[in-house]
Amino acid sequence: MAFAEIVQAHQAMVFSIALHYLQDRGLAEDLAQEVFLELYQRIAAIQSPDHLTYWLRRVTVNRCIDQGRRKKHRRETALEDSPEPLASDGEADPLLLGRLEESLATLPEKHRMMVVLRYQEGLGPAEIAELLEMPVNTVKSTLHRTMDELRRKMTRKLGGIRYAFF
Amino acid sequence: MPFSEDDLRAALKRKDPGPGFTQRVMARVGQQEKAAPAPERHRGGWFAWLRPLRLLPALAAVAAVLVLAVASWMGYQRYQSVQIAKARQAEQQAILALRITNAKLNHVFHRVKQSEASDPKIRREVL
Repeated sequence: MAFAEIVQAHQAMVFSIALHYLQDRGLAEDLAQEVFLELYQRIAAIQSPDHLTYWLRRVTVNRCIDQGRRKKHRRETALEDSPEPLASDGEADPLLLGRLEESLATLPEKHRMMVVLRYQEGLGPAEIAELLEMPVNTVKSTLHRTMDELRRKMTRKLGGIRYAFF
Repeated sequence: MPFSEDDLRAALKRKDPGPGFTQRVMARVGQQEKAAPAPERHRGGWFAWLRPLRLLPALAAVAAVLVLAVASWMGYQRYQSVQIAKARQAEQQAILALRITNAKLNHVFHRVKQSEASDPKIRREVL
């Protein structure tokens, strides 16, 4: 498999983890490119397609967390340099999805990464625990608490809308 | 605003980075290749550890083991030959001692014979 094909096959996964975590398309694209450059350097160490997916997730998660720590010093990307966001498929309620994305952005960084890995990548608590180097029970309880927090935030947002209308 | 796990999955659906992402990555790979030496996979993959810098300590260790082995073999051989020479010397000394004893005994035997022949009284006592 040519390297360009590997990039093509995994770019959505890598870019989306970065985008949902960093909430910045420019930063997410830069980070995704860096991940693939690192992969190019270490391609000889990859043993199987499963190992490749695991490696990409792990490196992306680590780079995202590092990037999150440097957030204060992050560079602003000019609007014209950023690729245009793709339109959603339109099946889900766009207002609800927008509110959910806003609420996700306000979560603490580790909690947000857990939610991204759980609901974007469909990983189980054990896999998330391995990627984030945390005990499985901590992941389970944190996910539970994070979902409660998201529900509270969404309810508060709804309250805000109600006041705006009435 | 209640939401389900499916709504969360929809909100976190994988998004494509947009057209040209692969080309941009490949362009950066090309730039990196020009700026730096080729990555490990061009140098033999599994055999990358055979690169000279990593090979030198291994070669030095093998050479040291060989020198030690040869030195101990030679020492053992020298010890063996010294032991063999000592054993031969001891053998010669034992043979010489036996010869001297033999000569002395012969001498005594002849003296006893002569005495018997010259003095019949001794002969009678002996019988």
